[in-house]
Order: sequence, then C-alpha cells, then structure tokens
Amino acid sequence: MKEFFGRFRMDLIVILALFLTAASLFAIRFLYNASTGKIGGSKVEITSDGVLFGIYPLDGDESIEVTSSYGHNTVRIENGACFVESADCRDLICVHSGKIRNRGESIICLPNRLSVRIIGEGEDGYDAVAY
Amino acid sequence: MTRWPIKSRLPYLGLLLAFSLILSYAESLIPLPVPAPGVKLGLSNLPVLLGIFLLGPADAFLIAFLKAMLSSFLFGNAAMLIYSLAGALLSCAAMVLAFRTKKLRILTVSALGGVFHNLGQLLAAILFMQSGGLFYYLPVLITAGIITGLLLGILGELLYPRIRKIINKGETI
Repeated sequence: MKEFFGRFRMDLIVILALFLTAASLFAIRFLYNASTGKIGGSKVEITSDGVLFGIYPLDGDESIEVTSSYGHNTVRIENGACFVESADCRDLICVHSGKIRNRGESIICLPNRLSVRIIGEGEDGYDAVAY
Repeated sequence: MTRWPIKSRLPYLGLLLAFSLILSYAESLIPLPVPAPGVKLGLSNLPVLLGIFLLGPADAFLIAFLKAMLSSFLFGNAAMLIYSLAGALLSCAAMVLAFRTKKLRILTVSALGGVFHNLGQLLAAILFMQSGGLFYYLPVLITAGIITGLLLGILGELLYPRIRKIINKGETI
C-alpha cells in the first residue's frame, strides 16, 4: 500500500489539486453571489452583435424582438424567468437552453450573435462582472 | 521513447484521427448545459492522449489540430472551429507538458487534458461572445473536465498497453 502511494504520489497530488481548484471556484462563485446581495437576478441584459440591445426588468411580462443582420430571435420574459421563445437560427440551441432566472446565467445564440444575461440590481454592462 | 519513421507511424496516426472524428461526432449529439454552442465534453481527447503516449507530442498535436478542423467542418460550423481549436490545442499542450514531466500516469495526464479542454473552450467563448458573464460556468466546466478526463484516463490506461503490444508485434514482423 505504501509502495502504491509512493509511486502514484504525484498523480494523487495533481488530481486532488484539480478537485480543490474546482471546489474553491464553486465557493468563490457562491461567496461572490452572496456578498453582492441576492443570488437571483432582477434584470435581463440583451446584447446583439456585441452591442447592448437593452436592459429589461425580470419581473415584467413581455416579448422582445431582437433583429440583427445575422437573424431574428424572440426573447420572452415572464414569471421572473427569461427564455428565447423562437429563433431563425439553424441549431436552435438558444431556444433549447430553457429558462434562466439566476444571476450570471445566460443564453447565447451564436449564429445570430445574441446574448441574454441575467444581471443584478444596479449592475449594467459587462464591467460589473468579475469572478 | 524511440522515434520511429513516419512511414510506420502514419497508419496509427490515421487510425487515431479516425477514432477521434467518430468520438467528435458522438459528442456533437450530446448537448452540454452551457449557453455557448460548441462547448463540448472532450471525448475526442482520448485519441490525442493515446497519441502522446504512443507516437509522441508532435503527432498528438497533429491529431488534435486535424480533429478540430475536420470535426468542425463535418459536424459543426465555422464558429465551432474556434472553440474546437482552442479546446483541442490547449488541452494537448497541457497533456504534453504533463507527459514531459514523466512523473504522471495516463490517468492524471488525461484529467489535466479534460480540464484544459473545457478551459480553452470557455476562454474562446468569452473572447468570441465578448461576455465575461460566461465565467459563471467555470466551476461546472472544470468539474466536468476532471470527471470526463478521469473516465477517459481509465480508458487510456486500459487501451495503452494493448495498443502498445499490437504496435510492438507489428514492428517485429
């Protein structure tokens, strides 16, 4: 047994270090969310082709049509959650992404260069996120 | 490892690349819960891992590069190419470095490869989408990378001695 651990000591150290890294990243994310108030977000930030399209309240009830030169997506906000209702992209990954409601979660439609992200109170733009 | 001539390495390069493409295809059918299309588990890393140990780092890089190019054109799109290349090359670089230490076994090298594969793809997604919010998925992706890396590493540990034996037999004939 001792011989076993002697031979694979480096392997054990590396694998444990990897797991520790993952665990501490989870912890950092949790602490960051906890320290900046509620984990649930309050606003929806929509970016189209790298440009801010608009920020919408998450507690609203609306459908947002986002059209860019790449394509068209319909973003739906209802019951404190947000999802992409329909899109004209090929793979429809954005539609299948489902609902998002927690801060930091996002839906991305790569073909149409659309990004939908949940942000917290008093937070706009990307600069506020620093994990 | 003694470096054998390209003529005898070529068939194994081809086989590993073909194996890699099949895994890439299988992988393209499994969606990951990350809102960046193209971010994959990294199953196709197994042939790259075997390539490092069987043929050497240079050949492994070739497999990783060709795999990313071909799988993107065959099963994906131009956008996927960025993710595939970033993931495959970063993971291959990490595995080659781990291999070079000569202190780590296949299992561990593979775990590192898995982590860096996902890290590379996430970084590519962040750069491409210009969205720092994707860092939210970093812990999940790293954990997924460790787990797939370890699973592939177990396969690698099992496959490596067997393939090595076949290659050695082929060399003596």
